[in-house]
Amino acid sequence: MNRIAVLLIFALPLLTSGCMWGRMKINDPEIVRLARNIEPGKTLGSDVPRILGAQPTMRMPGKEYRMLGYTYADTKSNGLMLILFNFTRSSTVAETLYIEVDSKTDVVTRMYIPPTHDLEWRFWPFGD
Amino acid sequence: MRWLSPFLLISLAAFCGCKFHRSVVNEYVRDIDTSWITPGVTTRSDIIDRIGVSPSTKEGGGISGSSFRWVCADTFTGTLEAGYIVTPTFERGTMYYSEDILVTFDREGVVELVSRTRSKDGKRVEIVEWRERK
Amino acid sequence: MKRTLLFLCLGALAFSGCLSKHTGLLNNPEQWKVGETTRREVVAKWGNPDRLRGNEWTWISIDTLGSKFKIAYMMIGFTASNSGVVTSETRMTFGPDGRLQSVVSSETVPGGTTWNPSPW
Repeated sequence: MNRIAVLLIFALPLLTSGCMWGRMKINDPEIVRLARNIEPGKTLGSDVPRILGAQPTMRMPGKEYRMLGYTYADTKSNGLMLILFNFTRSSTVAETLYIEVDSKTDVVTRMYIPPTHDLEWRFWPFGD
Repeated sequence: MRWLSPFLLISLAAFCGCKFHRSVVNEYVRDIDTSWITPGVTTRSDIIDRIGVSPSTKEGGGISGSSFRWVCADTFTGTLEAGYIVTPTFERGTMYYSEDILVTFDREGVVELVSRTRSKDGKRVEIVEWRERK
Repeated sequence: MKRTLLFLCLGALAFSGCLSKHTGLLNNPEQWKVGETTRREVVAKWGNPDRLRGNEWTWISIDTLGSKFKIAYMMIGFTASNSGVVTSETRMTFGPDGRLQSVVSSETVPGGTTWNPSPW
């Protein structure tokens, strides 16, 4: 009876499972919505940070045009925490909004708004 | 059976936990179709219309004046915590690109090279597509 | 009573430490032969380059070794931690025929870093 009780005490943590969900966003994906206020051919490149409410995360200078990039990311973390063994997985989608600005006139010439991608909750770290 | 209880007690004290963690960034890159890209014919605009522009992330990938690069970054971390009062922890992690697409352009914006590689464990890389302008 | 107190005091003392290693992919740049190796052969081993400037292709690898030591007694603790990051870069230029013209390899910390929790 004693042995069974000891075995049960040790086995109990293994039988008690813990699930974990976590979410993290880097920068503001809402800038995609604000970017629709930018009009190629009219908006000035120097006004872009004010319209989007943020400084670009990437700048690529050039003679004919320069590129501004705004990168944002969304991460979903999921896990199964069994005290002795813990399995967690994070899935992230990172995208960049690009704005091309004419180097001479400082006018926005083109804009690339990335599509949205589905993000799943996955906890198993092995396999695909 | 007398050895079972002390054995279980020692096991529980010796291993406080193992953690297996996987992080995948931009898994959608694996589904991008690049078979239609023809060096010498396809242009940067064609690629932007059909695939898009590669994102600039801290894990890698992005754009330059002459290239686009999409990557699916896979990180696998294993952690072993041992002991109670004395608790050493051992952690090992690897980051690699499970999918990597590179497209380079000439000055006119015409594709020069399409290079697509894949890796399952970060140690071995295989080229899935390689087409360059002759 | 004394034994119980001693046991409690010792029980509140804890040592812990952590050793961690994170690796990239890039090794043995000596395998490449000037005049013979093609870009495709390098990509087949190392994957796509991380930086391109015309015919100059660069591959970058980052390795990190981390170590931490902690000793704690009830609410008082002492922790020392240190981590070293080594960036390896191999720059190659290729000729118009796609063959290797030059290889330059460098590490930010030659010989790599070691596990050493001391921050001083």
